[in-house]
Amino acid sequence: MPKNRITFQWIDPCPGQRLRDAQARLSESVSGLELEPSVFPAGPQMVKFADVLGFARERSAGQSFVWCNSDVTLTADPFVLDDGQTVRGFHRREVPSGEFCGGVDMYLIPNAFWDGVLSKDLPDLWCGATHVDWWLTRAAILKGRYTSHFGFIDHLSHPESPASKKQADPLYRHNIREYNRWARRNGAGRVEQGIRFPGIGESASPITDYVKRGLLISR
Amino acid sequence: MKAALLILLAIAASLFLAGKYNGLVRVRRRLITEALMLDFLVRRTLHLLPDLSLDRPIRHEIEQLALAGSADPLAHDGAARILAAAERLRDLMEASGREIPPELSERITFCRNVIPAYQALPEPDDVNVVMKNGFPVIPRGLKRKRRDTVKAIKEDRERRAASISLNSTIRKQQKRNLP
Repeated sequence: MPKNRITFQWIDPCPGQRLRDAQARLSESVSGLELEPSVFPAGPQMVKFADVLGFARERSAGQSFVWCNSDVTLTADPFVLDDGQTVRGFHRREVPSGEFCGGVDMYLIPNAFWDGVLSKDLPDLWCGATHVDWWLTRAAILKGRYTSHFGFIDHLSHPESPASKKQADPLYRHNIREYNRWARRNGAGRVEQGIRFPGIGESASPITDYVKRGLLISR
Repeated sequence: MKAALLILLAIAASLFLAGKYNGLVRVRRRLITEALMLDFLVRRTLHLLPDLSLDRPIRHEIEQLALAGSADPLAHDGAARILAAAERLRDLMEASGREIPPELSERITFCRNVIPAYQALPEPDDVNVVMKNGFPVIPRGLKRKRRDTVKAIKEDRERRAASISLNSTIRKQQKRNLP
């Protein structure tokens, strides 16, 4: 009987000590729960979320597969919840504060749901940047097949990366645009953006990015 | 001179409209943030209180109501659904003598005050049943129009057909994935 697999990005060479340690901790915690780490090889460059999920689906050993962020630690086996029908999102617990985080850092996705629904309309999102969980969670909610769980993953608190929160970051802006396009096609809630041009901020339009690039070059 | 005045006027109007739009976006964004945080708080509270005397179907119903609203808090009564879930949970906690987390109460109050500007909140009222020609009738609500029943049946049939088709796809996939 093959072991169930947990897929996550393995960044090598890893630019920071924190992430290097976190990856190693995750791998250990996965093996400690009698599961098999299935690593998506990546360099310091960002990769597309759809590629990582597709990789996880290909290597699925059962009726569902699991993807998680590289900097969490597994504290329980998510496959105990697998019913082959429902997408399950897992909220992380921050260490040392013990607070639960609103974002979702691990998903258990039934193969059938991936093949029949998710893979049919994949937004072009960067993994590790903002709002990837908005897409996956909403795609499953819209089909009435989502539920969430707490207490399966821990995360050592650290300062947030610009790609996840800073509105001027190109990866952040790309993900917002792509998510909004997907949301418009599928009738999900969009990320509200204003049009505050004077400082060349706020609007996620590609024209804004173009103007901003022009301003930076002219400086 | 006239052209310059017109251009200035156009710029002023654009700035004014942009300001109005940004203000609107700010309020809508705040509502989305608060509603989504309320959805998260509802689900977290359910998780943190496993001994809360709610049977499983009620817990599931509250969670799914909150989640359904979070797909789009600004449309389809999304925020109102999240609020309904939060208020239901609060009432159940109160009934069992639990302390309501302050962040939950604060967000319920905020959403209750802001949502009516965007979405119709159904007011709870007593149903008044009267007898008419020997039959019980509820003398309220919209008047039924011609073809309303047909429309409702059609919509229900389409919804069920979509659900059956998804279920059969999933069953086929599961069969295929069996070792």
